[in-house]
Amino acid sequence: VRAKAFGGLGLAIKLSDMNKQAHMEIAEGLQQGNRDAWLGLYELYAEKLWCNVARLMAHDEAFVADVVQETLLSAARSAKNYNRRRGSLWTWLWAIAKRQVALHYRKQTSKAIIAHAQQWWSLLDGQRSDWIEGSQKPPAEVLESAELATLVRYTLAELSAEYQTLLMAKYVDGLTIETIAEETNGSSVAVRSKLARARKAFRQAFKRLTHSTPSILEMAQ
Amino acid sequence: MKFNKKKQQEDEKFSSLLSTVGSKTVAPDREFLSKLKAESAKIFEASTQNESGDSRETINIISIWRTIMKSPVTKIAATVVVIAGVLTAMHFAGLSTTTVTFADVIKPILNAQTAVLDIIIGDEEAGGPVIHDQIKGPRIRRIMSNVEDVVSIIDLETSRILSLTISKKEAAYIDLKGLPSMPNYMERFRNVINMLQDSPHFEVEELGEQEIDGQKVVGFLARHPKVEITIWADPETALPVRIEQMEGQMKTICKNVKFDVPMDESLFSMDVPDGYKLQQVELDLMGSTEEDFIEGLRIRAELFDGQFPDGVAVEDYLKQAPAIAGKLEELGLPEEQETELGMKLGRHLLFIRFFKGQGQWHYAGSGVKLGDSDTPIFWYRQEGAETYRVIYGDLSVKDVSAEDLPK
Repeated sequence: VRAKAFGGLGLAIKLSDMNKQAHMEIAEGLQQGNRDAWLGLYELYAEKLWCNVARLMAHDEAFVADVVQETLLSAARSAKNYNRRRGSLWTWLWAIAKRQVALHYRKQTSKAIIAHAQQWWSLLDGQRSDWIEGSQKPPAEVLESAELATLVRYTLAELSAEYQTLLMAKYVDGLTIETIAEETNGSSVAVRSKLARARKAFRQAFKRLTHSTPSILEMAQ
Repeated sequence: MKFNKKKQQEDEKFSSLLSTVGSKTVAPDREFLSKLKAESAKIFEASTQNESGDSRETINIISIWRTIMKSPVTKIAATVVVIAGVLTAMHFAGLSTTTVTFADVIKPILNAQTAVLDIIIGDEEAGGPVIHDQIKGPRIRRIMSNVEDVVSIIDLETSRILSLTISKKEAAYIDLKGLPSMPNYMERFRNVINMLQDSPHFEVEELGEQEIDGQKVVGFLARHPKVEITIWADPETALPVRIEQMEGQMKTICKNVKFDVPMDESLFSMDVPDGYKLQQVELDLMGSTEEDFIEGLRIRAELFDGQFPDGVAVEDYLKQAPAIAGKLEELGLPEEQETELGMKLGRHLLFIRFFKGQGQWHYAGSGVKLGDSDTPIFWYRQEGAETYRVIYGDLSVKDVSAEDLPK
């Protein structure tokens, strides 16, 4: 058992090292203008980027494609200036995507969709504030509603790129703290701490959104 | 233990809340991503080569043109370039002469009912977009290379453009205010030719035979104080195949010219196709004044840390347009402001395109920072004026005599 455990650990370490090595090579290649490095980055993250953008933009494929395209073209233009010290490749790419998503929200999103979701929330029975701030989970019918998804989506869109990345990695993709730490070039302790701050920011943004929330409404106009 | 349980509950609650955005999302479009992969790689390569001064900079310009056309501000400025192209193409027949051979060359132009041609602004090697035109009467159906998704139908009679974005099923009427009267495209050719035939300043030089794109052609250089035109024509049929025009400081190339190509009327319809979402934009081309030009200089400098552009000619704008689009993207302005900015840049561009000053304009702003009150960056002479207008790095303007001009 012990040998197996060590074997598993060894493999994990090797995979992790390989991952780091690949990221380092891509980062260096980007700075040198190496086409293969760009293609490597694309292979690694294009689909993940699409999935995360889709999460923030509901079901409109054309808009998702637009934002993904703008993000990747913008990244291609500036990739040679990528600096590893400022964050991982994914953090850098998602920061660009976050700007594109915000731009889209500012230009395209209908105020009526949020207003409807806000009204729906205000009319719900039950301990609404406890579902967000306390320990209780919302009931299944609330969790399955499109309105809640809208509110969560808009709340996420208000957060920083870093908090968006962390929350989606942990709670939508179900990644472990260790994997997230590896992806973001950080330590497990730092990820835990940032996640706690991200949850707090989420709760505050959600509260603002469901209590008249001028900033998000303005953003959607 | 209590802390762990609380933490677990918190995680479960967040998982259930956030998973609401994870379900029923749009699956990745692999075909789209695959096409985008190649395009983005081209842009990546070009962006790295630009910095090192590689001549393949042009790839970037071509690839990014699609992005430019998606941004309202650059789209409007690009529309101005499109319009500039319209007027340029109209002038290309103004190359008339009294020599018999040259008359043979222009005869097809005079008699043509329709035409198909490509227009390039600036040097062909610079890799700017190619404008494909189909012309019938007063209407032009225009597609720009690498923006093949956008078709513009230009009606010169009503000064109106119908712009169709095929994939998005979006239509926009762009009403052009301030354009000179343009009755009929072919009619205009004839008028210009007749006018120039009477001009004592017009002269033609034979350039002999040459090969262009594998085709043997015979050339003529027609000179006039305001325009210099080179026509290359098929020596057998006398049909023009390529026309290069230097008007003021702007070079335009017209190539792949074909006359009397049968074309369906529906290609030139100004009606919005069924199922298209309609927008309406008014583009005021009046008032491309010195102030408009200066305002454009200010915008272009402010976008790039106060650094004035390397050049202000139309082709320089085309080269800089991708970078301008990128900067505006970062700013994330509301659409209204972007449109206003686009109009300003458009008018700035028109000042140079339809330069009405005497002689040539001079630009020396490359490397100069906005606010530099000592360095002249642009000077020109207004029609009929004795002194020159000199614009400085702080965008102040002074009247300066010829002997005090920058050397």
